[in-house]
Amino acid sequence: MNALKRHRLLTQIWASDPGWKRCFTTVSHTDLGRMFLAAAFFFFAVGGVLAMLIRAQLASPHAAFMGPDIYNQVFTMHGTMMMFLFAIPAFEGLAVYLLPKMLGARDLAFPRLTAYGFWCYAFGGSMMLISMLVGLAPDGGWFMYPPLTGAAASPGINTDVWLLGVTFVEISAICAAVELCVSILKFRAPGMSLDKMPIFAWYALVTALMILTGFPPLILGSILLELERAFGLPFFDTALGGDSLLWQHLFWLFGHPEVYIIFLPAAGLISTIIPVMSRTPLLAYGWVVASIVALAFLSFGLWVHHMFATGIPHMGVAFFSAASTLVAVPTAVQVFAWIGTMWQGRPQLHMPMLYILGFFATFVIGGLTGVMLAIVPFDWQAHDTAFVTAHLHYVLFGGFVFPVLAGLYYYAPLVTGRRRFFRIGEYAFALVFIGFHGTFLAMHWVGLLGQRRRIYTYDADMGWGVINLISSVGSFVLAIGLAMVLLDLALNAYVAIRGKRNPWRAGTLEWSMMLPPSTYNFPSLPRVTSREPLIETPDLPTRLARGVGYLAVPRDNRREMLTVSTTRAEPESLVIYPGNTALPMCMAAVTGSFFLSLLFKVYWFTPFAVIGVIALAWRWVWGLGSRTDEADQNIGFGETVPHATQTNRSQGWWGSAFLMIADATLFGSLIFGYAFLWTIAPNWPPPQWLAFTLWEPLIGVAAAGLAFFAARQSPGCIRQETCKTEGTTRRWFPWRLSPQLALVGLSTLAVIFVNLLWRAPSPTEHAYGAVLCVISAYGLFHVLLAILMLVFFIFRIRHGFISTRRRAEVEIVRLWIDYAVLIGLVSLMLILSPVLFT
Amino acid sequence: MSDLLRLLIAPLVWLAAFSAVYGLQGFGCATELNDVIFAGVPLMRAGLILVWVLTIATLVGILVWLERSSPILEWTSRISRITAWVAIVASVWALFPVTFASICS
Repeated sequence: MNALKRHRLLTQIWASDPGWKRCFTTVSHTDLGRMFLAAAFFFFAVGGVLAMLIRAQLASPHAAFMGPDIYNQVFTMHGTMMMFLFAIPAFEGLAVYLLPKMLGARDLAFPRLTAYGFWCYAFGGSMMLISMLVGLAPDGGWFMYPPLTGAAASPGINTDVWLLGVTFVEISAICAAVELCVSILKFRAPGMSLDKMPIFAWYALVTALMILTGFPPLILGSILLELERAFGLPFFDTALGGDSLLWQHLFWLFGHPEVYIIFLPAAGLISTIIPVMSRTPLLAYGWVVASIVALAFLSFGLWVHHMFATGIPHMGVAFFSAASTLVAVPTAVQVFAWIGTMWQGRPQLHMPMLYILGFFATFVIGGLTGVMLAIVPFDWQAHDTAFVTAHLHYVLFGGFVFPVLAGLYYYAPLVTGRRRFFRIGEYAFALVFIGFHGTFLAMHWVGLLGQRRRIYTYDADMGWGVINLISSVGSFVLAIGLAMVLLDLALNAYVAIRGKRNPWRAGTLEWSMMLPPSTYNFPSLPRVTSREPLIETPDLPTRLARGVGYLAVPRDNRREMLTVSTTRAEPESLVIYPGNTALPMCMAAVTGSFFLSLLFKVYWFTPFAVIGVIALAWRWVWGLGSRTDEADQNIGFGETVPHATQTNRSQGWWGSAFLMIADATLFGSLIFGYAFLWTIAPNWPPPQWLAFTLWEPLIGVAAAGLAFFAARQSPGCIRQETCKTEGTTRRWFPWRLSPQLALVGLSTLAVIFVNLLWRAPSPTEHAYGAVLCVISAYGLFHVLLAILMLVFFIFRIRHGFISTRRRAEVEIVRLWIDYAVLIGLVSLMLILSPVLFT
Repeated sequence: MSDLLRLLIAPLVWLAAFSAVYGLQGFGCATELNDVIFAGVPLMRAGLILVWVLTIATLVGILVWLERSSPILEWTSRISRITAWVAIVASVWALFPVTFASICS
């Protein structure tokens, strides 16, 4: 097959739908990455306009531009948009677009999940945007501290918009994180072992793992606060055994890692761009990887440094102060690696490098003021002042926006296929740099003079007027600069002349493609033998086009990709991707209707929304798999691999495992909350404890054991080929029996949780009852989920989707049953064991 | 996957120990365990120091194990030793306040 015929066939197989249907039905990572980025920069623009409004209000004393009610909404939405609707989705967009191209893959692990994540983000973001247009935007600040955001102090739905909208949007982040983890570990080009991965993939992997462990505490906090507001469960009400400090713990357990979740991908871009611009490999690749891992872990030991002013004992404060100073070390390792790379090479001052130099100047200042704030006495002085706001912007704008702008200029030729022609960007950079420092250096100053953050006006005799005016003028210069950046990028994207392949002479795989990239990315998948394949094999693009690679021959009109072993990246299985579909968008819309029913308190509709999500999820999974066994497939170079459905560890199993990390973190946060309220919150013990009964733990353990061992029957039988060959009765007996036995065990567990919900102390009278209610509901939810999967599994067996060879679904269902059993037992222990000690 | 876990194991132990020490300190203050003196030794501080020392000992043990065992890639062996050292330094530095800081005030 010649290169042109291969191109035509692959284009036909991988193309998105034509016309207007494309953006609703596409599952291509290229399309979805661009859609994520476009939406993220739209929200960045809106957030920027809100920042202008804030600065207009603060430009002079006693300004009457906005009243306090509107001002509260504006600064809350500015922070919320920049954090949740710009920074994280921009990372998702970059990673979704770039990673398969960098890793030598044709798409991400779960294309429909990418689309679902995008639509959850788009609908959730729109929900928050519309709330602002109708004057119902959140107004409690981007960290939403109760009791200010409790039902008494904040009636109306403004706070609910934040709690439900952000949770809806976070579904997108969790989807993307699962997607990225599985894609990076299992969907690489053969031969791309862990030590040969592009450095950006390491950053994205660690960031995705941080999202899976950093976001669940906030999701839990949002659920608890919404339960308090909507149904009166008093988790944060001190009078009823709650504690508003619990919110701060949950929020900052998310909030501090969030800073690094935002910074790390940007650092990944810097580590990618600097070596190319300096014409030399990245210095100390291994040390950089170690510092990324170190930074991720240390960032989870810093959350209390946002709470130094809450009266925490000295020892606790000292732990977090020490950890906060420590986190500067792995950051510095990366900064020195970048400087060393430039020192080692011959840096060229193209547009991306301008923004990287801007990053250095800005981020280092932000890092140093961060170390200042980590020192407790200084933090007590500067707490809640404009100094903290300025520090935050130096870290986030310096550490994210500058590198992302560098990344946009660096990757613009790849995305658009055009060469930069118009030279507005250099002037734009100058305005951005001067405007930014003009705004936020002044803000440091006025903060040290005592101006508190979030005030909407101030007296003229405070002496802050001139400084605020300088800050406001700077912010408008910054805004003009950013508008010029967008203009420059748009002009060059639509008007400039066509560019050539690999304009930067980079070494990573994304530059081996034609510009702009084709829908299938690679005509054949490369065998990677170095960290910079294009430097080692300059004619790689031609070889791949000629079919010297894996999966060079399109088969059966199917979208094919390989999975590889995690460490060495040896081919393991063949994956068949699903085609274009509007299912993800529909499911996101129905998921949105669930959140809207809660927001507008139309609770009668909520069960219908849940049923809708279940029905669509059923439809989603039903279309996967095959009813016939297939022989191992030839993938090229004389190698054969089985279909992913015929392995024990399919991509679905890996996706489930990573999703469970997020779920377990949420459960861990719930246990932390329970322990915190029990030991720290005032007004404990509760007026009434749960009465202990012996039958619940006994039957619960027996039921969990039954489900656990019954789930083991089925895969055991499938692995033993005898089950298939010894006649119908023997073949079907274990499969029919063991799911049903597991069903009996899980159903019994479900009944126990329903009973616990029924007989627990009133959840509205004390936080103890509220916590029991949530733990019981959590256990019940997981048991019901496993039951649903078992029922689905039974249907799949009856319709011939499962066989001794096609066993991937068996392993996935078993994993979820095991997890439900574990969660069920721990939940029972949490509910019942404390009763014994009271 | 085992190679990836080697990179993460020592920092995970640090994170668990850091959380445990902070939790223990909070629990001790809430239950007034801080006031208990046993054989002239304040029980709470002794317990915290014990956990701190055990954490460092565990991490040193992990480092020794990482030195001796062989991973699939030699590269991951080197990186996992670096992350183990990070965890040891982080444990010594971030938890040393157990030796001197006032526990509950």
